[in-house]
Amino acid sequence: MTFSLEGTDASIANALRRVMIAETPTVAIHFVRIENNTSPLNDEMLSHRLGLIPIVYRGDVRQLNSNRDCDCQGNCARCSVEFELHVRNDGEDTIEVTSHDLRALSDMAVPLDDETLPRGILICKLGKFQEIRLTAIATKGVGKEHAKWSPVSTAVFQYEPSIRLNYRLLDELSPQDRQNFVGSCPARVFEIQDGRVVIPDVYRCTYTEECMRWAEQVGKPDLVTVKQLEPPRFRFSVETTGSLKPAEIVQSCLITIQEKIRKIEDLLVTKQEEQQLPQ
Amino acid sequence: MNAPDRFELFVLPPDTEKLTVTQDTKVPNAAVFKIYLEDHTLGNIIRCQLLKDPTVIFAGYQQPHPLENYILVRIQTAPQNNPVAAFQHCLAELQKEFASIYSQFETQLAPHGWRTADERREM
Amino acid sequence: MPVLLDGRVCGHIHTSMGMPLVERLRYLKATDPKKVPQTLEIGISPPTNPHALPAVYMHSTLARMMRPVKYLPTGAIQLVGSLEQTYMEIACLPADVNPHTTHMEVNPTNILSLVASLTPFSDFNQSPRNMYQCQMGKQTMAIPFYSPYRSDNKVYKLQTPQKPISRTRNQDEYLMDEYPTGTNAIVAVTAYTGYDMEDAMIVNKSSFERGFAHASVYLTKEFPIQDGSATILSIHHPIIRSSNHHRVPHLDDSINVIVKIIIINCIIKSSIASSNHQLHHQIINCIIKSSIASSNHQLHHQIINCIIKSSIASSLHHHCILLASQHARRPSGDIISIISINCIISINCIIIRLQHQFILSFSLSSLPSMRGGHRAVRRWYSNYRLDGTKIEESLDDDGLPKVGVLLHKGDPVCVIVSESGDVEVNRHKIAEPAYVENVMLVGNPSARDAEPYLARVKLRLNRNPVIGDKFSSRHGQKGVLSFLYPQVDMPFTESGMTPDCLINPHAFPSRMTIGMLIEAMAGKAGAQHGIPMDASPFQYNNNRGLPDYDTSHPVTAVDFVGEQLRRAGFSSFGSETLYSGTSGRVLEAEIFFGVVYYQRLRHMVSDKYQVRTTGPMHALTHQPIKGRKQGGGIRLGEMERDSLLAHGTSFLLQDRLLHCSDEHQAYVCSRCGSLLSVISRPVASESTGAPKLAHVCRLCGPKGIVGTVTIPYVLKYLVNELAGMNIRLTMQASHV
Repeated sequence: MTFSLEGTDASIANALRRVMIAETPTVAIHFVRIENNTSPLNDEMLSHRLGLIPIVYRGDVRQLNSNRDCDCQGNCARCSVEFELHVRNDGEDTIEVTSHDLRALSDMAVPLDDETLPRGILICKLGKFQEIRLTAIATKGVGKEHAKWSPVSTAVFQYEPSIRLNYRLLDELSPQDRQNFVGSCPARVFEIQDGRVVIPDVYRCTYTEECMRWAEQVGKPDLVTVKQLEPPRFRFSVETTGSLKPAEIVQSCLITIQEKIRKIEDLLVTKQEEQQLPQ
Repeated sequence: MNAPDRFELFVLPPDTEKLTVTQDTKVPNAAVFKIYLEDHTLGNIIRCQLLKDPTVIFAGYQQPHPLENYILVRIQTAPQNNPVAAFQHCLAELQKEFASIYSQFETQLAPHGWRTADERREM
Repeated sequence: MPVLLDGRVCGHIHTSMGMPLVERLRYLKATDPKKVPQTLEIGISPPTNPHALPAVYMHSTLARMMRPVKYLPTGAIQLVGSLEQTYMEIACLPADVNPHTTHMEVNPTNILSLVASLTPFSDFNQSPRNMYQCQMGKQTMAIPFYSPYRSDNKVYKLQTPQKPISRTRNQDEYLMDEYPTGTNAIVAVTAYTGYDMEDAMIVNKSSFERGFAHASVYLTKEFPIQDGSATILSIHHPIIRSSNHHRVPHLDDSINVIVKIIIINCIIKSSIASSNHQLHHQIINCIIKSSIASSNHQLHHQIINCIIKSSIASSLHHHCILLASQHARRPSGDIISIISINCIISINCIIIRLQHQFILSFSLSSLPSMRGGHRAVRRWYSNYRLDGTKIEESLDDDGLPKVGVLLHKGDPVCVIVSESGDVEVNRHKIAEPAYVENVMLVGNPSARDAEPYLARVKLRLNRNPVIGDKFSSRHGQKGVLSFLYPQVDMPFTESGMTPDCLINPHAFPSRMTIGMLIEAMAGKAGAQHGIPMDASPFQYNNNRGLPDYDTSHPVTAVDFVGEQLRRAGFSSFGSETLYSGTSGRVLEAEIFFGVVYYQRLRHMVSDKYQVRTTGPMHALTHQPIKGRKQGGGIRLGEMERDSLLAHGTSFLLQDRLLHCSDEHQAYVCSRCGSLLSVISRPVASESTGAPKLAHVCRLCGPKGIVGTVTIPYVLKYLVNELAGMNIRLTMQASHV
C-alpha cells in the first residue's frame, strides 16, 4: 500500500516508519514444545523457522494480552494461540513440511495463507520415516523485541523530489542528445513523448543525480536540478509480511504513537503535582 | 553471554521512574527530561516539535548509550515560558497532529472498503 | 646421455638426440595412447644445466602429481608431471606462444590453489590480502560434512549458509556449493555510529534475528567404561574377579565345593608360576585358612584336563574370559560354570607364565579381593543402583541423556555403575549449556557378548553471533562484530532496505582490496537480475587471449558490472542515497551499498573470554595461577607495570600487584630483621590462662621484638630460597 503525507516534517514521517517496523504488535510463535524431531534440522533451527512464519490473528491484536503481563500461569487464550504440527513421512520420497501443516488449536489465528504462496512456507523437509511432532504457542510481541514480530517487510517513505527541467536548454539539444539525457537516468525518470522530455512519475527518482552529472559533462549544468520538495511531501510504501494488512499496520502504528505521547503527558502532569513544578 | 535481556526494552528497571525532570542549576528556564524505554522515535519528534515553538531557545535530545534504554530531552525556554510547559504544549501539539493524521487516514480508507480500527474492535 | 625409466637406466642416447626423442614420445603420448601411456612423465634435463645429470627421465609409477595442459601440436589435453614441466615451454595465453612453445595452459587461473581460486576478483586485490584470505578461508564456519554419524572432537557448522552470488568457476568445479562457507550480506560502507571503527562491523539486529550467520559447535564427549588403562589389564580383570572375588567369600556354600576346588587349583598354579616366595607363602596360607574339604578325584581330573586343553588354545583368551566371566557371576554348580571357570584358570596360568610382570599385580590384587576388595570390578552404563533405585532423574535407564535435552553446567551426562555398587556420575563440565545431539554406544561386534565399552555423547553448542565474534569477507577483510544495532536505527535506502552490516570505509584505502568493492557491485547486480556473477580472476579488461578481444574497448569489470547496475536502476558506481534511521533525513554523502559474501570465522568470544575476580592460587607463590581453563588471571607484566607507573596510579598498581595477588601478613623480628626466625608457640594467656599463640624470635629469644608486616608472599619464598643458599636477608623494621 502506498499513501502520501504532507504538511509535516521528516521527524513525523520517520516516527511512523519506526513504529511500523518496531512497535506494531503482532502475533508470532514464541514457545515450542518439541515432542519428537527426527528431521535433519535441529530443534533450535526448527523453532527459529516456526517463529518467523507470519501468523494472521483474527481479531484485534492490540486487545490481546501480552504473555509476560497476563495473570494466567503459563499461557491462556487471552494471551496466546496454540498450534500443533505433526508430520511423519511414511513414504519413500522426501516430503515438505510447510506452514499449511501447522494447525491452530483455536480459530483465533491461522498461519499465513496467501494465494501467492499456494504451497505455504517451507519449514523443513522430511526423509523416509522422519517425523516432527510439536506444539507451538504464539504470543503477542513487537519487532523491537524480535524481528519475527515485525509486521512489515518494508516500510519506507520517500521524499517527493522536485525536478526542474530547463526546457530552453533542452530544446537546444539534438534529438540524439536528448535521448542520451533521458538514458542517463538509471531509474528512468524521464521519457520522451512527442519529442518532449516528460516526467511520468517523479517518485521514480532515486536521487542518483546521474542526470545532473550528464548535464555537467555536456557543459549545461543548468539543464536539470533535482531537489527535495520544500515543504516536504512524503510517499509511504508499506509492504507487509502478511500477518497484518497494510492499513491495519498504519492504524495500529498511529494508535501506538498516540498512546506513547499520552503516557508521557500523564506522567508530566503527575510530576507537576508532586514536585510543584512551575506551570 | 552477557547480552542485555530483551525485556529490558519494555520493562522498566526496578526503582526507576519512566519520567524524571531535572532543573538545570546553571541556566535559567532549562531542564532535562529523562524518559525511560523510549528511543529516537519519540525523541526526534519531540525535538522537532519543540523547535517550532518560538519561546523555546534550545531543544535537543540524546540517547546517551544504545544499550541503555532511555533518552534525555533538554529544553531551554525564553523567560516568558518554562520547560515543563513547553514540553506539555509540544506533546499536546503532537497528539493533535497524529490524531489528525489518524482521522484523515480513516476517511481516505473508507471508500476502499477498509474497516476502521474501531469497527474491527467491535467485531 | 642415459635414458631412465622409473629410475632404472634402460639405455643411452646421443646427447643431441635427447630432445628429439622426448618430443617424439610426447607426440606419441598425445596421439597414440596404446604406445605411450597418458600418465607417462617424459622429462629431460638438458646438458646445458650444470646442476642436474643430463638424462631422459621417464616415470610410469603410481601416485605422481600431474596436471592438464594443452599440447599445441595436436590441441589435445596432456598430463604433465612435476619434473618435466620445469624444462618445458608452457605458454599462459595465446599471445605468449613463441616458436619454442609446445604447451599452453588450459586456463590462466590454474596457477591458483583451491583456496586461492575461491577468492572472487582476486586479480583486483593487493596480493597480501589474497594470501590472508587463503589463511582465513580455512577458518570459516561452514557445512563441514553431511554424515550425521561422525563423531569428531569439535566441529563448526553454519546453520544458515548460502551460495555466493559472486562466484569463481572453481566454486562449481570443486562443488563448493555443497559446502558453502558464508552468507550473502547486504553491506553499506559507511562510518555510522562509531561502532564500526577499526575493523569493527555493525550487524543489523533484525538480520541476526532472521538467521544471519547462525551457527553451532558440535562437541563429542567420550565416557569409557574403564578409565583408559592398558588393554592387558582388561584381559586379566575378569579373571581376578571371577576366580577370587566372587567365589572365595562363599567357600562354605556346599553347592560351590567344586568351584572351590577349581579356585584353589588356580591359586596353586599361579603360586607355582610365581617366583615370589613371600607371595607363595601367602597363597598357601590362604588355602589352608579356607579349610578345603577333600576333593573329588574324578572331578579334579576333569578340571585339569580342561585346563590343559584350554591353555593350549591360548588364542581364545578373550572369548574364554568373557564366557567365563558371564557364567561365573551366577554359578549354580552345574558343569557349564565349571568349564567356564576352568577356562579362566587356564588363561590365568598362561598369562602368568608368559608375562612375569603381571604376576605381582595379579596376585596382589587378587589377595585383597579375597577379602572383598574392589580393584577389578565389572562396570556398565545404567541409571540404577544395585538395589534398583534410580540414580539421576534426568537420565534414561541406560544412564545416558535423552537426545535433544539441554544440559547446563553440572548436569549429569553419563552414569557408570560397577558391580561393587560404586556409582560414577560424569557431569557436563563446560560452563556453556549444550543440547544433546546424539548418543552412541561403542562395542566390539566380534566379541561374543558385544557389551559396549564406550559411550559417546555428541553435544551441540549454540553459537549464534554475539558481540566479539569474527567475520570476514573473501578479501582478507576480517572484522569483529561490535554491535547488534536495531533495524530502525540503521540507515535505509530509497526502497526501504536496511543493510545487514555496516563496515567502515577506512578498511579500504590502505588495504586496496578493490576486489571486494567489485564483488559488492557484482553481488548487487546479480541479486537484482537473479543471476550468479562470474567473478573468476583474469576475465575482464586484460582478456587478450580471447578471440573477440577489442583493443579499443577493453571491457573492465567495473564497466561490465556498472552497466548491469544501471539497467537495474542503480547508480553505475554502486552507491546509493541513504537516509538516517534515527532522524529520517538524507545522509549527505552517497554511500557504497552492495552484496558481499561474508564468512563467519571460528574465532568466537565464547571460546576466548577470560575473567577473574578471585580464584585459584598457586600453592607455592600464593599468586593467581595462569590459564583460561583453570580460571586464572591475566599477567600484569613489566610493561603494564611501567605504564601504570607512568600514569602515577600507584594505588592501582598496589591493588593489582599486592592486594589482588599474594598479599601476606608476615611476622618479622625487628631486632634481628629476620623473616624466618619467628616461630609461634602456644602459651597460656597471662590474664585468663587460656592457651594462645605467642610469636617469638628463635634467634633473639625474649629480647626479640616480633611484629607483622604486609609483604608479597613471594618475598617470603625468596627469603627461604636465599637462606637455602646461605644468604641471609634481613629487614630493617622499625615500628612493628
